[in-house]
Amino acid sequence: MSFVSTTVTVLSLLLLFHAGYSAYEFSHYLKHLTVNSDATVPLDIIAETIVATALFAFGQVLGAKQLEPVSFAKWAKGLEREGKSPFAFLERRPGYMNVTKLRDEYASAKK
Amino acid sequence: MVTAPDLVLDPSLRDWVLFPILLVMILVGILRHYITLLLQSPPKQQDVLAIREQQSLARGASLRSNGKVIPPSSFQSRKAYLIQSFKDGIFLKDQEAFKNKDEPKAPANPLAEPGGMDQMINMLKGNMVMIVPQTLLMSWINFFFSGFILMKLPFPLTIRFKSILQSGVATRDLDVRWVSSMSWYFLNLFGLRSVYDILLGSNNSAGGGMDMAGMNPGMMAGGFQPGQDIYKLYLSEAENIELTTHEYLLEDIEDRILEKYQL
Amino acid sequence: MDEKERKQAIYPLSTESLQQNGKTVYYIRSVTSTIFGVSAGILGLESYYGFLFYFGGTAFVSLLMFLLLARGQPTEYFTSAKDIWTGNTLAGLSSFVLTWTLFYGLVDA
Repeated sequence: MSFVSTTVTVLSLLLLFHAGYSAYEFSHYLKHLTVNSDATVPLDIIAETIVATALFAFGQVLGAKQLEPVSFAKWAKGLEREGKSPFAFLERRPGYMNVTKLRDEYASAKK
Repeated sequence: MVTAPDLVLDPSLRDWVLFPILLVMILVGILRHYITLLLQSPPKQQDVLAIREQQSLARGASLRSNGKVIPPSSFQSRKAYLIQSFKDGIFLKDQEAFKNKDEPKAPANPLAEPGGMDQMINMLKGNMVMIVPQTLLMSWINFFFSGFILMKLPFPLTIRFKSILQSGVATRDLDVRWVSSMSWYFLNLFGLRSVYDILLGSNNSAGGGMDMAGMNPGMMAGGFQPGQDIYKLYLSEAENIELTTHEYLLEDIEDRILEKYQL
Repeated sequence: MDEKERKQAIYPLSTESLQQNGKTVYYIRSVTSTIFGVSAGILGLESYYGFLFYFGGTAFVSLLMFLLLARGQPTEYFTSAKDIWTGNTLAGLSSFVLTWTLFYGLVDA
């Protein structure tokens, strides 16, 4: 997560909390007032909630892990640049292997 | 729109029922995740021949799918070798039994094989970790929090759900949207996945195998169930290899390179 | 082998990055759907409007992912272009319903 995305996410959560608390207070107020009790949530709370939600989505997408190219060639190229080639095991094979010894081991395991 | 009889819920319901159930369910999920991690036993080391018996099937499949990257001559020799070996059963662990295979034998008991036993125990463990907390939680909620309305759902449901969602509340005409603690439990059961994803990372086992992702690894690991006649699998694999047509991918590589670099 | 298969064999796809990208999309979907539920609860949305809110929000997240994550080229990162729009759209629905119900009840105290 980058600095920007963390800031945006935290800001959006604060906004959302504030909107939620306002809506809570508003419903309390309605109950004590008992005039027109079917009033909906006021417009500023709606706007705040929607802005907070959009900001949160923005922050999350911004801070998400970078997508990796799906083409094998590009993907392997990127890894190789970082020195984590998927074919490293082929490039660092031992130069010499005692096949006779391995065969003996295999034969004794078979018995 | 028909308005429901307006109930006013006591705020202490929220503080002493809603939040405790939520908190307990989250904590139980986390606990389940760590118990599953602890119970995972490392795969037992098998001997060379048993591994070869299982992996040679994968070898055949691998030749079929990746054969296109080797030249025709190499493909042909591998094909001939694998088909012959599969038919002769030389990858089988138990050569003696293979030679006397005409004799009738008892159907293999999956529990008798060490690998099969392991698998059974692992499945059992997984089920226990999932079922035990679920039963405990359900009876806990049923015992302490039954017989009253806990909350109102924001969406209407058909009357059929009434008996499930309002169990223990003896009101015939109450709107189905008012539900008891049991429904809150079910909502948590299905909805907490995202919370676990945020808390524990996306590969967690807190959902207790409710998800498909949690079930797959066990199934995909071998593709081989103990107790199956592996020689029959060999024969069908040999047939599959026989039917594979080989096409060499590097056939026209020169043309492709020239085309790619516009020479 | 027909032309399409042949092309796929010559230019193979990396299953690892496909999985990785799928996981990233899934994570974003589940986290955002939780917050959508919170907002729907605060707004006091009921029945169809709540679900409409969910799908609207999911579409908005898809748009953001299309622009910010895939930089307008979803085929670079997914097998087909529609994966970024339709993939995992229902993954967060149950979490959405959970937080929606919770906050609907909390706000209307």
